[in-house]
Amino acid sequence: MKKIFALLSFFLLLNVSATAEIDRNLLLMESKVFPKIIMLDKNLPKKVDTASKTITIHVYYDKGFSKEAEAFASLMKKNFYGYNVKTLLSPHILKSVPTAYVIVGSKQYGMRVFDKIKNNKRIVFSLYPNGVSYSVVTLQIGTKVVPLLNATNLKIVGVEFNPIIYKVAKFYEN
Amino acid sequence: MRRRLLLSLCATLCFAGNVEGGAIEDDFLQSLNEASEIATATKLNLDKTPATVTVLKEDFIRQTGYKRLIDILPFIPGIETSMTSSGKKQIIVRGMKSSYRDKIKVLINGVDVTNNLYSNQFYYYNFPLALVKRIEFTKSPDSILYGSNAFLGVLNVITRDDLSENQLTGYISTLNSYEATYFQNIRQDAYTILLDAHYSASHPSLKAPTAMRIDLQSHGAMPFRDAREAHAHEKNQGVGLSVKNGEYMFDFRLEDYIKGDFFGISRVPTLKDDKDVELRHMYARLHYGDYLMPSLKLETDIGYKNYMWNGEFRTIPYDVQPTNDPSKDLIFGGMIHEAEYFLKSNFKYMTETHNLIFQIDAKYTKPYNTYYKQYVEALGNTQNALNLGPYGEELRGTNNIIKEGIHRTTVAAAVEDLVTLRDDFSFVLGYRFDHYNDFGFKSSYKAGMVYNFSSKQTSKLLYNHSFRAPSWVELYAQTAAEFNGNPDIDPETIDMVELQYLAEIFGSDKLKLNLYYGKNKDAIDRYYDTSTGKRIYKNMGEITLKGLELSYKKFFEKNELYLSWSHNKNESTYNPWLGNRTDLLNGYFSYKYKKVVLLTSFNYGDKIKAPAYIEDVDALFSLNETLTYEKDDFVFQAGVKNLTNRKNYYWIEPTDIMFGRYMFVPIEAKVPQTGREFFVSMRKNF
Repeated sequence: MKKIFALLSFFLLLNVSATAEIDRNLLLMESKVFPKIIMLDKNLPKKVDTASKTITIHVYYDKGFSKEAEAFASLMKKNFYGYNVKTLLSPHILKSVPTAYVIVGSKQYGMRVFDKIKNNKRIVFSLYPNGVSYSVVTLQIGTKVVPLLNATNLKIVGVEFNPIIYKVAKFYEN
Repeated sequence: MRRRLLLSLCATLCFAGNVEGGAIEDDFLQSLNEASEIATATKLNLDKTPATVTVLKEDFIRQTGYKRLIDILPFIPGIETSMTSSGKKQIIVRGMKSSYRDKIKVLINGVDVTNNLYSNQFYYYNFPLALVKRIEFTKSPDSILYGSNAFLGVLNVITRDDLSENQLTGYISTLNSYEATYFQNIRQDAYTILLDAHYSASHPSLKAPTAMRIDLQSHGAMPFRDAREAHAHEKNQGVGLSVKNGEYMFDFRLEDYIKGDFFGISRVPTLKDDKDVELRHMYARLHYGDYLMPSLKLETDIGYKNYMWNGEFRTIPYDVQPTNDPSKDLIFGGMIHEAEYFLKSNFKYMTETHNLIFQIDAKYTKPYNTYYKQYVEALGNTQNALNLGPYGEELRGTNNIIKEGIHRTTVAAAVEDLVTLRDDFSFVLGYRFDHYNDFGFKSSYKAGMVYNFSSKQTSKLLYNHSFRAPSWVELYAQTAAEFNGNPDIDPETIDMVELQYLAEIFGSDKLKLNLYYGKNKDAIDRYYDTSTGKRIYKNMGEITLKGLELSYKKFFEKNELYLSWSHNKNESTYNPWLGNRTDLLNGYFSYKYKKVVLLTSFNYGDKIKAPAYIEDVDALFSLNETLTYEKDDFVFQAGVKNLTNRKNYYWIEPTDIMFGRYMFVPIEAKVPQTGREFFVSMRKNF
């Protein structure tokens, strides 16, 4: 018994880096709702590639979050409302400006990314409900699932939504 | 479908931003409802809904290295597992142990797999965890949406789904136990096909204790048969198929379970291990689910179930005298099939404040091809009250195992509304009525509320009234030797009040406390009727359930520590020996380092109190260790259960009175659990 507890104590003392696990069902919900929110962007026509009818989504992921990013991308439909959907995954910020952004990672990573993309006038989603501080939209999960809008960040990015979203969304202030 | 086609066409025509706003708005609202449904179905919003549910997720299930469904349930506060002398596994919810049925509803992917014959489902208790994605255990009675038998709770097992990877697994242990499972997910644009199959067998070496014979005339007890090797053989095999195409889904599952008689069905270990019992359950279901409007969804299930019980048991020698001659054994057996046709429709109306469900539920169930066997080989062709059908003759008519010509028709309607008044306050109300052709109407009702003191503190108050319809055996069994039904018994009922407090403390650590108080009225049990000399089912009396469950989960970055304690202080008006452990303590610590996960877990249960003339059954303790190594698509596990090789036991109560004067019981009224078990398993994702 003593040996077992000694072994346990040894493992407790070791320090390991943190990554949180994300529920695939949460990703499934987001893959259903996020595209619909993109369609509510009043200036969507200016943010798509009209020649190829393509909506591009950049998914930026922190170190250790590649699986979540990949899982989300695999759940996204490849086309909706006549648009093709292209999802690009990257840990680093890409030069091109997509239709919308998705961020998954630590708070520090999210803040850093948001700071660099906030002037592109695009919707920024967070895969984590607690990532609302570095995004414009995420999901709030209660008895009902509703969009959680960061009012401050919404003003910063300057995205204009179809008013239907304001009827159901909850608001977060930084 | 037509609406979606129109929507797609419209979207294409209106490309470049001129998409019909109304259609998009409707789709947006519908997607939120779909997301809410996923959150509710997968219990992601557990802290906000009025229910006492524990969810065991795939990651944890896998880390334990446990093989069978029943093995992992003790990690749920308030759940104890046990076994009868015949090897029938039991799930004890909040200290409620019942010899023949667990009074819970077991669902596999939402399909009820409880049979009507006994209203039990232990043939699914060995279901392989390798094929399980999530386990949800609702410990509240919950008849509103589940009907009869959701009495002490609902165990919903969700198998691997269209988000799961293909896999092949293998398992082998030092207790002559092995298992192989297979899962394949075939995804095409228009449809998804899920296939799974499993096979497992075990034959641990267990010693059946000396059997004692208690003579009620002489008030003495004597050793009746010496300790000997138990016939603890089990085999499970099954297949599952699910085909999903748009709004339609078809699924099929077949589970086959074969077991030996373990320590003897009559508490007397057998001299000859040539008898097995086979139980087979099958269901086929067609599901349709679609939104009629953004806020209105229709779900309909229509299907067929089939259950078979087939086998024989060796019991005691026909002259009740000690012997080593197996040909003197009184052998019982038989065959029963039951067929069930079911239809269930849910109308879900979802608005910003309401989650309204209206359900209609109808079933028609009938036993067929049933017969009884009762014979003694040593008596040859002599036909008498014991050698009823010489050499295993199939007995029908008045000698059949169950009354012939019976059926059960059930029609039910239910309504439940979850009202979200404010972000921090919601309540639920529900009512259901069932009509059974056997005993008429029965009502169930519930009320509950959830209040969030803050984003990190929640309280719930719940009240449920549920019922359990008597099984066919309880109503119509007519076997001469073993048990007798009573068509006059009423359904038993339960009223339960629960108070739950959930909090996030020290950051994201989770604390959960449940307090409960309930009354099981008209409890159905078997008793010995001295006037007729028969053992008959009857509404015996009342059982009071009271207790608490406390759990705490601490997160250390990648690692987790979990502890739970439950205590019950149940009382019965007719049975002072409930055969359960009143205090249960469980926990685990999971440690992740790179590609390795080490999980240390333990289970403890205090003594089982026995009558004064028998020693209490010792406290249970098991320390378990599992190591998981994962590289790419390959996972290797090795571990040990009951590392200290502690001798743990199950409580076995004496038999009913037999032949008007004898009872049988293993010495000290207990049978051994398996000891230390080393195992290795492998999983390959593809």
